[in-house]
Amino acid sequence: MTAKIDTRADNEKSRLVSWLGISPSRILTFVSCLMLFVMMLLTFIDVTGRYIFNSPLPALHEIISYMMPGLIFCIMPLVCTKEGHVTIDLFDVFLSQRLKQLQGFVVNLIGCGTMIFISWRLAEKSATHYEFNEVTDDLYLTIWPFSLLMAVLSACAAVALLLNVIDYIRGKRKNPPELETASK
Amino acid sequence: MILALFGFVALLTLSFLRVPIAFAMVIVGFFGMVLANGWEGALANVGQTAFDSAINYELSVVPLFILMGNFVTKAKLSEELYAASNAFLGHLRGGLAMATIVSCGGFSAVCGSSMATAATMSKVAMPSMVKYGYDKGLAAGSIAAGGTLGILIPPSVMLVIYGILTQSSIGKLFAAGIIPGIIGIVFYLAAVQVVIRINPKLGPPGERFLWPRRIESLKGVWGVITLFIFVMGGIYGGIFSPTEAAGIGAFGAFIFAVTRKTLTLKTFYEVLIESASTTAMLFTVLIGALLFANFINLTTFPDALLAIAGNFKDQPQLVIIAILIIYLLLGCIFESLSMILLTVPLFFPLVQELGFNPIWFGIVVVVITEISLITPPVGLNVFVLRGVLPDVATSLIFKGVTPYWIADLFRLAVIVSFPILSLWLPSFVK
Repeated sequence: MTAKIDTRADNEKSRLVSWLGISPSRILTFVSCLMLFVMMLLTFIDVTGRYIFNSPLPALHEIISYMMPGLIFCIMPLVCTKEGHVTIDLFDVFLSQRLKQLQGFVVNLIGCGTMIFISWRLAEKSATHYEFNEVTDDLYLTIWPFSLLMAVLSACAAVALLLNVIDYIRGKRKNPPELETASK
Repeated sequence: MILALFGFVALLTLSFLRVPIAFAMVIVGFFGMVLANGWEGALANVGQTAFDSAINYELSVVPLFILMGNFVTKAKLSEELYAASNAFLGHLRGGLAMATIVSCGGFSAVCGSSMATAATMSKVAMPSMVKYGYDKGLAAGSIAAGGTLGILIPPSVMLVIYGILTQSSIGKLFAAGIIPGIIGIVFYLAAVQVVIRINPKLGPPGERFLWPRRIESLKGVWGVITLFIFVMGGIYGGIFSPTEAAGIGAFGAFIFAVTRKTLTLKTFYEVLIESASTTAMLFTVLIGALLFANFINLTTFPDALLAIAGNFKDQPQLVIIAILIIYLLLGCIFESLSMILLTVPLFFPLVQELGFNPIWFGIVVVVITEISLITPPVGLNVFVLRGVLPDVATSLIFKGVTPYWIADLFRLAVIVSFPILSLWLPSFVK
């Protein structure tokens, strides 16, 4: 499934959201896209290297494994800002405008709490990695900065969701976006 | 047992309140674990699960296949596919709808997502069906249904996820999807014919092409065929791992898009953002589902299920039928990925215990998921069509898609009854 993210016309973008939410998430989005593209290139180079030049890239599995959290967590603030997570919108038709706004507020607040929680747990995990000075199998990379980065990025996603909450309170956002389509 | 049932109820309630399913699963999974096993274990589990699911080489196959599908979409290979199937089928009654289904099947061979297949084909197929005066319900229905083939005909993101969840070979699962996919196409074509027999006005014949034109049109399809043979051939021959095949497929699709000049810097970036967003969304659901599964595994629920299934050891078919019914009902309301992630960890041990083949069960699960994409009230592919064609009423699309999911029920029966259809090709996979 493809997430094409677009908020509906009647949702305004507040300045707060663009400063704290959209601009930083743009930079992170770029990092995420870069990871994805480089991952593709590395895999291609590895396979051609192996079959044509008989020299695969060393430790590629590990490099790609550790690029994955970058890809996933860097784009999380954008996905959260745009409310792009999978939801069941079965009952949307029965809700009045006011209720939808309330729903947006509650749902984003719950999401924000969840992301803070995940961030906290990852930070705790990172502390454990630090304490035991854990390193990766092949390249002996120190692991704790990776888990810490995941925690920080989850916190960014939580901020994005908090900004959504504020927007719903201030009435800038009026309804949660409809189902994404892969159109365009 | 009671705790697990409460968990399911809480999960459904939160999801219906429109809390993102991923978050709902994290919340219920965590508190469930606390109740079953205390705070300490539950807290440690969350960090560990989130970390392990993100840092995972096996799962990197997912974003790469998504990227491949999105590049293929931008490369506009869909147009040639449609032109070719139209040249062969278009002149028949209902021919354009049949051409739509065949080209959806073809597109599925290079795209692992049903929604992307439906969205892409709708832009190519809908205009010509409207031009020839097709009933809009039938037209949109054929795209929504044809699109579902995306997750069955390899590559398939759903089969990858099933494979990783159950430790089954992704190569074998991909091989297993081919014949059921072709059966799906044939049954859909039959569905079109039945509809046209009942009311010929719904799908008038289109233009007839002569053989030279038909042969000519086939030349346009080489891109799709090359990509498919390269990626799938590499997996079946044991030359690439699925992740490598996905990386190469994505690169190939990227080259196609570049050489066909369909990619600007802007659309290129859009493709990357779209693929990365989808990946993030998917992984959030995955982390949530793993936490929820961890919670369920701490309860007595899995044992209770096994015990119930054990009572039917002599008639394992009954258990399978029960599972199918549960899936069909869940599929009506639940989103496909969450449905697979929630149910497979529960049902898979039963299926194994009763001696069924895991590869076959994977295909059965994916076929049911396909059905769930077009059944009311929540049919994601129908909603995709609604998004692309705002002037066609959702109810009309649901009506148009009905013959197809009836055809799907027949296909499901065939695939469940004759496992050999799914298991013959995988026997050749290295």
